[in-house]
Amino acid sequence: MEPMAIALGMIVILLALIFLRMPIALAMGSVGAAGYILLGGSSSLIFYLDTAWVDKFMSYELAIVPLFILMGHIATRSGISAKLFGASNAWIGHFRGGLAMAAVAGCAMFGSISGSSLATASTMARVALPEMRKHGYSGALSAGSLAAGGTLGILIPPSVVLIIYALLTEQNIVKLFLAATIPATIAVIGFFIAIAVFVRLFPEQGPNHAPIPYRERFRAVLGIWHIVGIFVVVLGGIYGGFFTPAEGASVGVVLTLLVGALSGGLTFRDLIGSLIDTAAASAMIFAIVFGADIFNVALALSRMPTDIAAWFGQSGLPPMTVMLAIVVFYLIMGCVMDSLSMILLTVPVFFPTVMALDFGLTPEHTALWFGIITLVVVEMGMITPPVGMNLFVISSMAKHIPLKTIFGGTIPFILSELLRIILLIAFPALSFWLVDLVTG
Amino acid sequence: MAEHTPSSLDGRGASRPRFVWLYRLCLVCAGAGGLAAFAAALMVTLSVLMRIFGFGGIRGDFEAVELVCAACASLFLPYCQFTRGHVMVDLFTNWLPAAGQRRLDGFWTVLFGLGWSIVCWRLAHGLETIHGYGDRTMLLGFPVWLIYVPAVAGTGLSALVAFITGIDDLVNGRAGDPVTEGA
Repeated sequence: MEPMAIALGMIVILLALIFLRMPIALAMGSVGAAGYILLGGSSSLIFYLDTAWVDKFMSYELAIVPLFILMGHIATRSGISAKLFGASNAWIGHFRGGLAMAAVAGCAMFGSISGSSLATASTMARVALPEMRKHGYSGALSAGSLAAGGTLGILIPPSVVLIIYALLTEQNIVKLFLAATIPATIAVIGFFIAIAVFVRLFPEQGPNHAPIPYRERFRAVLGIWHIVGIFVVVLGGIYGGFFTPAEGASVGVVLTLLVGALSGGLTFRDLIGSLIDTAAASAMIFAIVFGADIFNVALALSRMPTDIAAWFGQSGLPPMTVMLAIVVFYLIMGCVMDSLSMILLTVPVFFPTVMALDFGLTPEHTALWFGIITLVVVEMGMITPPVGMNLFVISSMAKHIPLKTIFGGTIPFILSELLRIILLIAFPALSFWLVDLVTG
Repeated sequence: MAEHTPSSLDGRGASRPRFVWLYRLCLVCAGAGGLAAFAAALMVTLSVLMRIFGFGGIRGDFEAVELVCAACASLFLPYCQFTRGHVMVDLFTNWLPAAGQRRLDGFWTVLFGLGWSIVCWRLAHGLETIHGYGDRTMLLGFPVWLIYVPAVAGTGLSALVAFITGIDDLVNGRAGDPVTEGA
């Protein structure tokens, strides 16, 4: 059989199995193994499996994943989210729609110490939902803002998705983190505008209330200085070249633990609980990484990724058309697929394709730009129905809001996200200007 | 995103009183891996502090992090298998009756067990080979074959967990929804 036919067959069968509820890691691993046997023979697969697991995970770069996840879980259990929401609420909560904006701002701050979207959405929902309900906010606005705010968890560094992208494409993790900063800021502004427009159109959905005195506002801000400190030390240290991302994550774990234990009432039980939560979340990621590795090694044997890249490079198609096609593909797949699996499956094929096209950028700029676009597009998949994981998390926490209302509540945020994607595609410099500025 | 709600899945595993020993074994493994990760974080932080204050970092901290990552990946697995933490897409099969979904899941889980068995079998072979080479890491002089031990144990235990829970699902899927029975 033609290698190309085998590769295409692998992709079709993989999708079919995934849609039949087969766990994604298993689907990628088993289809990959079958393809490997057809393309390279069973003895070479067996030889590969002897060491692949250990080779893959004895990695300094991959170690960042469990460390940042641990940091996020400790933060989740230490009551930090209540303080963050309290501080932003004190300043902007009283405006019309202000509580929703405060929830988004709280998510943004929490996202700077957590790399996880679901953790951000759920931890902030726990403190913000009751407050919004008390002040008569509609279910649509409360749920929508929290689901959208949650996506800031993976968008704002540290971001698990970016770490995986960096490993797949051999890019610099620090530069990718920096590259996400401006797009993340645009996201926060976009969500604020979406809320402002929404409450202007439907004032009864997010009523204003009496502001709190300035003395208390400053007190609330003082209450979060140590959380801001963690952020400054960890990311500042990484960007400033004082330590590697793995060192930053380690320092972050220790600092978050200290802050949690000293001020948030984090107990020994909570620490053990965080370790177990970290085990579950990391194992799931590692299993997918391993399955995808088998799949991608087999795909590489077929030479399909390079062939496709070469074909697009010579096709004479306008590069922007190809980029838009990829983005549309991601948006559609994002509605039904899990984001990490999507990145692991598509980036090995799409990345060489994008790199083979001439966007008038340097290779590094193209890689950063595509990384950010990929991140933003898959992150949007977290809030697009029918399978938007953030929506389900919010729904499980807010039983009084019907799922249909939650879906409706995300519309303003999805519109704002679409605008941001167009902006990021039209102005690639948004994704690398800051990187050039900082790293020279 | 590739993550799941913290703690939300614990209940599903814990609600199976029959396999409580298996659950505890997975929990111990996950805890050991978690403690290793936590210890690595402490050590690296100490190393960073020592470097800042001019004592020079801890020799080989880089290697220790790599070793811990490999150990974690292996030790975390069984718990994730037990709590059904592996991501799947259920959108297109939601129309199936609950018992049918459960049986389908059981079938895939048994296949998962088969997959982990193969990986475990090959890793055991890899362990033997690497042990024969007698390789040690550059700075710490840590014998490389030792890191295959948690790998064999973790994938082996995952295989066992997948077989037991998968067969349980296949059997109980026919009888009705055991989740409501147990609860």
